[in-house]
Amino acid sequence: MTALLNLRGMDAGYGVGWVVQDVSLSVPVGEVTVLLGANGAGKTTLMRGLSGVIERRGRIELDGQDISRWSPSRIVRAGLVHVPQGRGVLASLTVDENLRVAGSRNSRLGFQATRDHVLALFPRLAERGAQMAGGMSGGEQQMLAIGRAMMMQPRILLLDEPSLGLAPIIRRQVFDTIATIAGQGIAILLVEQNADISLAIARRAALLSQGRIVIEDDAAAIAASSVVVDTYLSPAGPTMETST
Amino acid sequence: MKSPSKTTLVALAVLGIVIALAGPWLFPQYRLDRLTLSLIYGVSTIGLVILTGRAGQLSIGHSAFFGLGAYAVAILLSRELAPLWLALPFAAVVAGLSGWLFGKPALRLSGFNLAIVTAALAIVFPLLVQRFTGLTGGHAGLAVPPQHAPWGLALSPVSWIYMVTVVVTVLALVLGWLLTRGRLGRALDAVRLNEATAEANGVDVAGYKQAAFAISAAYAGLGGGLYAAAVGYIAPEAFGLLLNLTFLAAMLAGGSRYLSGAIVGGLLVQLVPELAGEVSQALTQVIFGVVLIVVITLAPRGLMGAAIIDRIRKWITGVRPGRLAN
Amino acid sequence: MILLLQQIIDGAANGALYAAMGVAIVLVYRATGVLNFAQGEMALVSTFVIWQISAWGLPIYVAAVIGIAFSFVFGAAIERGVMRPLRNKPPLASVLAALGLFLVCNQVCALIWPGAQREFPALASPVTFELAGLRLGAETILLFGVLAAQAVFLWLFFRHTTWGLKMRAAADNADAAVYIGVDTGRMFMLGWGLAAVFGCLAGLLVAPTILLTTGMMFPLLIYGLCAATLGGLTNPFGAIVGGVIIGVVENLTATYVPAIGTDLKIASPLLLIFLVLLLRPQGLFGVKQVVRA
Repeated sequence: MTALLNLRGMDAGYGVGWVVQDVSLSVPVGEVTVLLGANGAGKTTLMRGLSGVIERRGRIELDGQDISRWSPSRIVRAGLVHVPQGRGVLASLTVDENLRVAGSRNSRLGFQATRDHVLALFPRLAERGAQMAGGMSGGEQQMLAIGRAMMMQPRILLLDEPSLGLAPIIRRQVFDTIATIAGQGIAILLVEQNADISLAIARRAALLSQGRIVIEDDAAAIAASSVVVDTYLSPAGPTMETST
Repeated sequence: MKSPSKTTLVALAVLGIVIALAGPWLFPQYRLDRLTLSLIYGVSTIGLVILTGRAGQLSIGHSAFFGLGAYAVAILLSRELAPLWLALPFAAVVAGLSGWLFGKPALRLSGFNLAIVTAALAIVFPLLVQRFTGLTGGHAGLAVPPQHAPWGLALSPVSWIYMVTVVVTVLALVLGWLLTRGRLGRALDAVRLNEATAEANGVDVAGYKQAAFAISAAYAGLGGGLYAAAVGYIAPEAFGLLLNLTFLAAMLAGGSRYLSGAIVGGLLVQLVPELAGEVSQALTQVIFGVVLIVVITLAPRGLMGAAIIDRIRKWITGVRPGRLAN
Repeated sequence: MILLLQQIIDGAANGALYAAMGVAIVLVYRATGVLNFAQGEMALVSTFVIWQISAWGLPIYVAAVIGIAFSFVFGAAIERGVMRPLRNKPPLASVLAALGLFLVCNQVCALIWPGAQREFPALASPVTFELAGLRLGAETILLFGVLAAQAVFLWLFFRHTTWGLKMRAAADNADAAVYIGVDTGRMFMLGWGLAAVFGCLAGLLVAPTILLTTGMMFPLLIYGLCAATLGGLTNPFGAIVGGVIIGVVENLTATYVPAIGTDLKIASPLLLIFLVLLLRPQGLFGVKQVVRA
C-alpha cells in the first residue's frame, strides 16, 4: 500500500547548515512508524521540518502532494498535525478551551462529534474540562496535547517524545491510546528515545543518528537486535530533556 | 591578529582622553556645549546600566535623582555656599542617599511594578520642587552662575565645564568598571538572571538591589549636578517623567549591558536630535524616533551589544570568542 | 455630605477616562505581552483624524466611525511593521521601539495639525442631569456606558468567541499555538488593532473635555498605566475599577487634604498604588505569576 507520508532525500535545518540530511522514510496509514534516536540526533528538527516551521528541502509528499513549500497552516489543514516535544499545552487556558481552539475549524456539528470522539479516547480530559491546562500533571498534559491534535481531524500525527517525563504506568496508557488511534486509520510517526515502549506498538522503525537514517527495518527486528539499541540509543529510562 | 597588549590599550585610552580634553580647540563653543550635555546624559546612564542592565531592575524614575542633584548644586552655587568641586560630590551623595531610602520599600516590587513606582517618584518630584519655592525658586526656576575656569586659565565657562565633564565622565567610567568587575558585578548578574536562585545560593538579593539602586541614583545626581553647572538655569519641568525617556533611550540604544553603551547612548540621544534639527527643524522628533526604532531593530541588544562590536571587544580583551553568556 | 458625593461622582468621571486608556493598555499586554508606551500617542493620531474629518463638515458620529476604522488598521499595521520583528528579542527592545513610536506619532500630529489648541466636538449633548442635588453630565454617562460596553465585549470576546480564544492561545504560547492551526501573526495584529480602537475611544471621550493638543495624551497614558497596574495588568475589568478608584481618591484628597491640594493631588493615588502593589503584586484583580527558582 502506498504510504500517506513519503520522504525522499529530505533535509531540514535552522538556516545555518542542514541538521537533518537525506532522510527517506515512509509512514503508512493505520500503523505506528517509530523514529528512534539519541539526544541531538535531529528528531525534533525533522518533525519541525515536516510541519513546516523551519527550513527544509527535498521530496516531502503527503498523499501524493508535495508539501515541501507549504506554510504551516496549510500543512495542518491538509491533515498533518505535529504534537511538539514538551506537549505545548496552552497553560492559561482550560482543557476545554484548549480543545476548542484546536477544533475551531470544524463546523458546529463536526466539532461536537469530534470532541466526543476525543473524550472517548481520553476520559480523563472529560473530568478535567474546566481545569487550567497548566495545572495538570505531565501525563494529563500529554493526553491533552494528543487530544487537541485529534480535534483537528488529522490524517497523520507526528508525536515528538510523548513519553518524556512520564511515569511508566501513565506512559503505558498513553501509548495504548496511540496504538488505538493508529488502529482507527490514522498514520502515526512516533519519535522517541525510549526504544522498548515505542517499538512495542510499531510496525516499522528507523534509526536517526547525527541527522541521517542509519537503519530502517521492521520494528520487531530492531527490538530483537540488542546491538542496534545499545550502539545508537541512550539507555531507556528518564533522560534530561534537551532540544535536538 | 593578536590582541593588543595592556600597555597599548592604556596608551590608547590616555590618547583618547587627551583628544577629548582638546575639545575646546577642536569644536566651536555651541558644539562643545552639546557634547557636554551628551556626556552628562552618559554619566547618568552609567548608573542605569548598573541598575537595569546588570541587576535587571527597571527604573523610570531616575529623573528625580538627576533633578535632586541639579537642585543641590544649583542651590549651593547660586548662594555661593560651596565651590563646584565640593558641590558635585555632595549632589552625588545626596542623590545616592535618597536612592538608598527610596529603594528600600520600592525594591520589594519587581518588574513592571517597580517601574510604575519609580515613575510615581518621577511624577511627584517636580510637583514637590514647585511647592518649596523658598528653596528652589519654585516654578520660576533657579539661575546658576557661570563657572569660570580657576587659576586664571584662558578658558570660557563653556570650555571649562566641558573639561570638568570629560574628567568626571572618565572617573565615572573607571569607578563603574571597578564596581562591576568583581563580586558586586557577579552578584548583580545573579540577581538579574534569577532572584530566587540567587537567594538560594546565599546572595543577599535585597541588599545588592538596594546598593545598585543607591549607586545608580548617585550617578544620576552627579549628572544632574553637572547639568545645573553647565546649563546655568534649571526649572522643575526639565526633571519630569519625560526625561526618563531620554535615559531609557540612551541606555537601550547604547547597550544596556555595557558601561561604554551609556556614553554611546548619551551621545546618540543628544546628537541625533541635534543633527536632525539641522536637517529639518520640523521633523527632528520624527527622525529621532525612527532612528531609535531602526537601531533597536538592527541591534536589539543596543549598539555596544551588536555582534561586530562584541567581536572587537573580545579581540581587545583577548578572550576567545565563544557563546555569549545570557 | 452632598459635596462629598459630588466629589466622588466627579472623581469617578475623571477615573472613567483613565480607565478607558487603561483598558487599551491591558488589551495590548494580554494579546502580545508588550506594554505599549505609545498607546496614547497612537490614539492622538486617530483623534486628530476624527477632528479633521468633522472639521471638513461630516457629523461627529460619522467621523468617529471612520476614525475608529482607521485606528484599527493603524494599530494592526504598527504591530506588523514595527513590533513583529522584535517579537523574540529582549523585552526592553520593544519598549524602546514603543518610545520611538511615541516620538514619531507625537510630532507627526504636530506637523499635520500645527498651531495651538482646537476644540473637539462633543459626542453627547451638553446636558447635565440633576438628582437630589447631585450633578452628572451626559458625557459622563456616555463614558460609563462605553466602558461597560467594553468590559462586556471583552469578557464575551475572550471567553466565548473563536477569535478571542485564538488570541489568548497566541498570547499564551505562540510557538505551540502554531501547531494547532492558530495564525499567530494575525492574532497579534488583531490584538493591536482592537487595542488601538479602544485607545481611540479613550481619545474621543477625553478630547471634548480638554482642548485637543499634542500634549493631551501623555498625562492620560500615565493615568491609564496606573489604572491598568492597580487593576492587575491582565484584567480589563480591573483597569476600569482601578481607573475609577484613582479618580475618586485623587479628587477627594485634593479637596479634603489641604496639605496635598490640587497641585499634588496625583500623589495620593500613586501612593495607594504603591501600597496595593506591596501587598498584592498582581494588582487588585490580576492573576499571580509563579516564578520558579
